[in-house]
Amino acid sequence: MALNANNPDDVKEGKMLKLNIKGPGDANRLLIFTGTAVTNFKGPDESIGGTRTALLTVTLLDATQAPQEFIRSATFATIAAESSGAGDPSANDEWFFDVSDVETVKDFDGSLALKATLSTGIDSILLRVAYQANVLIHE
Amino acid sequence: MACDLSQYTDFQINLDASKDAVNATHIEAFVDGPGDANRLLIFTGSANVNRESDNDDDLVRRGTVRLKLNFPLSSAITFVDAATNASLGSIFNRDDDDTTYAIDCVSTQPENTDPNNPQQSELVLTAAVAVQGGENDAGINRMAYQANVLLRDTEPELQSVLVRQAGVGNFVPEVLLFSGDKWEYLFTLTGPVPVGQFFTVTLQSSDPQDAPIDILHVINEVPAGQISAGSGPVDPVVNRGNLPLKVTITGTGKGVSKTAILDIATIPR
Repeated sequence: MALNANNPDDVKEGKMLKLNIKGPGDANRLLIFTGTAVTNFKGPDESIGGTRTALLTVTLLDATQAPQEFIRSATFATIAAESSGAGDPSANDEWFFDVSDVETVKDFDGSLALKATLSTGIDSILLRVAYQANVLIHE
Repeated sequence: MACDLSQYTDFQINLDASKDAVNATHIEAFVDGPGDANRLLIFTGSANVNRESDNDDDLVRRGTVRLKLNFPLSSAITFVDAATNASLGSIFNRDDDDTTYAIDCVSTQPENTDPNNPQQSELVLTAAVAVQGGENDAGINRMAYQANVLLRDTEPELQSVLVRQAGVGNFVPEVLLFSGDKWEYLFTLTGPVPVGQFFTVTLQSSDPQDAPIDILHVINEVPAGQISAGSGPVDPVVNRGNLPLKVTITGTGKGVSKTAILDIATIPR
């Protein structure tokens, strides 16, 4: 699942703050990205069972805007909105949501991207994922 | 302010970010304020809480999760303040009982975690957690967190690296050398090294062929009580070409790098 933080249909209120810092090492900027990704990630049908997993990629800055010198990052992402019992006429009795393996990287195409693994169970839709990515760069 | 945990006594889960959290990491930024703060640390990760509801009595169970962030505070580091966020990272339900999943409050504080060493202190994230659901049929698997911590670090930093021709003149940021000259360097810190410690500086040359740094000079230690340390003569520089060479010498200590320049002329002295 590929989303772009600068597309309001993909990410609600995708924002970036840039702070001047004095290190460590060559680091002289701290970038803070926040937003709510519209994932709408639906689990498998009840007839199939189990869970469904996908890699979420949110492009924070495309290759033309991404920092040349990415140093390090620390990223937070979590369930922001979910719906359970979706499409199930019986009792809302079984669901599962998971957001894990969250990180922000300089991607293979040169963009700066947040990555996370999403999992959902039956009768489960992970509607939105909130995030904050903190990135040290040199510019 | 720490969370009021007086109502969260049904369970306590003690975790260590080094082994009980997924993608646990932190970044550090050198800042200038507010107040005395000169370090901002941002810790993130996903803690393996793995707390299931343990009954079918429809009661909400409230407890605490304590997560050691794996960041010991030395005597030179003072905790200034922290702002922490935590939320549901992974939750599940398997039956039709009423359910509750909550991270009601979270905070990060310095705590003594070693009863045998009262002086020891490290950063601990504490969360007030609630779970309700059918027995073993509902639970919180993981809790995502971000702890933003301001510290005052009074340990010295590397202030400068200066160089000179071995035994000649003053130490300066940039020195002219001739092919075959030996040279030496001087590190200066922002303050004296605390008692019982030493400050390590590693040295690198941008041109190891023409300005080699021998193994004895790669890793340098400034001893306790000292604010600077120099070297003995380093291997002679060489200029094999026809044009003057500029070589950058980089010293790095505690994540801070400083540089000096060797201008190497082609003509032997």
